Amino acid sequence: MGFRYRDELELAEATRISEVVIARGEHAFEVDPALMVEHVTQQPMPRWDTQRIARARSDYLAWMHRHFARRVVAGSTLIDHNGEQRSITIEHHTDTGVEGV
Amino acid sequence: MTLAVGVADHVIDALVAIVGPERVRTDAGARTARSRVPAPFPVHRWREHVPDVVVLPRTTEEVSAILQLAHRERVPVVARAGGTGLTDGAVPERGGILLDMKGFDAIYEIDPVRRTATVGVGLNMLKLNERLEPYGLFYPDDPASYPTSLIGGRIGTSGWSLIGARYGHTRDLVLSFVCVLADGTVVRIGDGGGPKLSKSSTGLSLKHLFMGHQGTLGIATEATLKLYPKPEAELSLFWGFSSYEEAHACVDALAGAGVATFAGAVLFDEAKVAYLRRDDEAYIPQPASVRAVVCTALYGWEDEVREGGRRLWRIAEAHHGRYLGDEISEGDWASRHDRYATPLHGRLLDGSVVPMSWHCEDAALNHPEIPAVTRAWHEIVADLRRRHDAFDDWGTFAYTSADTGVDYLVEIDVGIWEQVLDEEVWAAWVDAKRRIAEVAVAANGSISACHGACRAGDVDVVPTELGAAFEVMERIEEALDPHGILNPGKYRFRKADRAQEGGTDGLSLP
Repeated sequence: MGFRYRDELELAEATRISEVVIARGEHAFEVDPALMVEHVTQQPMPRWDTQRIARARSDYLAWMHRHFARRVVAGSTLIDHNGEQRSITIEHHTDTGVEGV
Repeated sequence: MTLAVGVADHVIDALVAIVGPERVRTDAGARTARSRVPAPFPVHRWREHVPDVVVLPRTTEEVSAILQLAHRERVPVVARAGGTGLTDGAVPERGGILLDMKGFDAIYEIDPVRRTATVGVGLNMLKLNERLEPYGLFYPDDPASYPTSLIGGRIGTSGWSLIGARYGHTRDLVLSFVCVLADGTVVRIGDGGGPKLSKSSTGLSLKHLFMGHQGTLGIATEATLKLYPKPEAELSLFWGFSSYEEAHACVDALAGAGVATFAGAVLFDEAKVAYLRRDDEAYIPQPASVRAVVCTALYGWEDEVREGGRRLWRIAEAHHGRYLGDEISEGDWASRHDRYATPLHGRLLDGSVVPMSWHCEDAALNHPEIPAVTRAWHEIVADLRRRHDAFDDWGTFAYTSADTGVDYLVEIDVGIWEQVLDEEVWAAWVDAKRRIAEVAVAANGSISACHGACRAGDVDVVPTELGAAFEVMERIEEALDPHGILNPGKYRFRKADRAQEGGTDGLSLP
């Protein structure tokens, strides 16, 4: 492990997100520790390790994309300049009944 | 730990003579490690599924010699590739020889002119694609185990691909393969005689017969694969819906839109979204109004992908889908190629966390039947949980299997707390699986679109699903394996009976 600043070693502040999830820092979620006391227990994780795992996950997903295509088109770039897609009439047959002969 | 070896010493000696002593393993570690797969497994009866000896062949000639020996000595043989199957095709039911095929990991040829690759069945698709990169080609067989499963297992189970609506599934992508039959005969199985043909009308079509048999008809060693130009662009789009009914209608509209670059669409039901909202970083922040999700992916040249994407977007919008953003669309789609990396824990009825293994019970269904079938599945799992607090309902997905949306791979993911499995809990689970399969068959579906139907519980329903066709299959299997040595116990073929009786006359092979 290389040099770490003090705040990287501290456990990040917990914020409750839902009845079963807390967050420690931006977009770093954890199962509510109260639900992990008997069969599976949690261990304190320093901020730098959480960040390392998040970055590694991001790198992994980008690496996976590269196996399937040369580039990824972001969906947001399909949105028209006014921020919305034009609606079209759905042309396909939506009746799920099957006619007999 | 010591385990008795149930194969005679002279058979072990003969195996050593074929492959050498380093590649014949009778130690408990080697055998135990190759006895289960991620499919539901009766861990309380682990010992019953341990093979007697593990052999690691590297050539077709070695496999042929091993099968000649096993045929002569009436010893069961089970082939194992990546061991990632969600059915139990690679799990020995009667001990015997386990052939670990991972040594067949060579690329024998890349033919950029015909756009084919000829490889050993122990090769992984991810590794193959890395080698294909300089040629501008790729092999688009894309299971949820893409980084870990092997081509031999894909043949043995007739695998399903996430992007199969665009590129086809394993049976479409494997042009031909070398197969060793029960008596050691080596044949090339394909469409016609040429190894690099996708369509022939010569003779009977054997390729589909020899795919998906779970190692009961032969053992593949080498495969010739169809390659595609690597796409310039990928586009994945995720939309949230406030009602399952609108999401269900939307997924079919996307599949039926006739967009050429459409590679697949997936419907997440309410239970799946609820499960992801508690454990998946992409879904935890989603607003409560997101109750169902639909995603789609397109591959091709960037201009055609963009145009196709705009069309699909308009369809989703007309069904009141709300775009969930680039981060979830790109990140979650990339994670679909590797679902085996998910954290495997689940919840008891009181919400507390326990370690759970993942089981995926899948079926092939038509679109109109999906809501009623998945509702019935959830009721079955809820009933199971009430009786035994060792299971968790992780929701359902429905994936398009083909480019028109004619049918779907529909799966219910169930967490299992394996540490508490005993005979009573296991029996309840098998009964639930049987009921899940019966619901799919009653809806004019199939027990499995993807994994195989030889798992405990499911296999009971196979004769009901197939009717008289199952008897035809039994006759074919008996002709090709008269002594019942290839994976006896699977699909309840009459192999075990034949082995005890000394075999039948079977089919006379050269």
